[in-house]
Amino acid sequence: MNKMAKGALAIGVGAALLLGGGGTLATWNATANASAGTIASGELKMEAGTGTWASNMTAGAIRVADYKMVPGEKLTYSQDLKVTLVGDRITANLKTTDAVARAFGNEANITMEYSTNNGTSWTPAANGVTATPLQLAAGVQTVKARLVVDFTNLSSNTTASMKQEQALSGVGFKLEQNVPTATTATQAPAPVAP
Amino acid sequence: MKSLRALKAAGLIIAAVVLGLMTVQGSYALWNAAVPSNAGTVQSANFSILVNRAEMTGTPVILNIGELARGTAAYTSLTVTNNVNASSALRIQPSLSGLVPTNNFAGNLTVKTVPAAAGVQCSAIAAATYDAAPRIPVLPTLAIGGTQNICFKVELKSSTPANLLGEPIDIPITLNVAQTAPTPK
Repeated sequence: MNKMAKGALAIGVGAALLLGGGGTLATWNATANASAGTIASGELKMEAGTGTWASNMTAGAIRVADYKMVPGEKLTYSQDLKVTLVGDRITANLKTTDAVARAFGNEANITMEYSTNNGTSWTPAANGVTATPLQLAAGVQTVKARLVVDFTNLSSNTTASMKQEQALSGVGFKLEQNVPTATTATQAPAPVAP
Repeated sequence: MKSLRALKAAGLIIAAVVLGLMTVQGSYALWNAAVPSNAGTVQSANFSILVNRAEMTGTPVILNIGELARGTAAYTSLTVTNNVNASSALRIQPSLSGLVPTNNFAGNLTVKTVPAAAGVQCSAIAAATYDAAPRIPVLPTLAIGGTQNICFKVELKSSTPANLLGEPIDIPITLNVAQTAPTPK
């Protein structure tokens, strides 16, 4: 084989080698649309109704701004909370916030309670955000809340309890979603060989 | 073969990402809502009691009967008013204690007490009424705004020895006022 042919052969081999090591190739591909549907988020909402005050000593509602309590008396503030929980895994806790435990020189006790059965029974909501919360499931429901100022500690009422005021406007309610719990996933059936 | 290696590599990458998500705890916000109660402010009443139309304090009230001659009586009174600004029907119970003269002039000085209606002059009450009253009468309870008049008759017998005269008459009286137990509706 002459030199020209050898050179040409070498170039040809090299080129072949180059062709084998790089370059682009078309690969198979396919696309398909997934019919996943529409996803939506739930809802957590709470609305407080207008509260009313009443006394165990007088009939009917009272106007607390004008009302003066005396030892032996209990005032109750009643309020409806409309709670909306939407979500397949949603639950929430209802707590009090900024609760006040005492009034009138520490001679009156203040407690809060919830009822989820329209007042048939009441669950104490111990004061403070660390109190035992009321657990609620999904749905729209009315929770009755009440705050009681109990001035019936007749054994220790002194002048320190006279002409006193206790602001309660800061007391409120908080609805907090619980961390949702995971459920066991359902496995898809194994593909069948053709 | 090359494509198989590529698929294998892709498979390994996917596994690593899944493991990463499962083992490293992330954080996410939970929903919450808060509402105020708008409960307002509660207040306690005062315990305002008026004695002779002045606010009752711990300072003694002097009831001046003037000079008392033998065989004469002097009259004085005090009024107790329920001036509490409670919103409920609070009643008070006044009561007296003491009424023992410091010096009873050897038994010749007496003091008698009767509750009286408002506006009644103590000197106009019949002697028999004073005589029949217990030494310390039970006073009625008072509603808010109510006033009780209490009359005192101090008498020095005509037979009081002269050598006992000229001494001051001092009759300590203690007035107690207490809220009565409230009655729930």
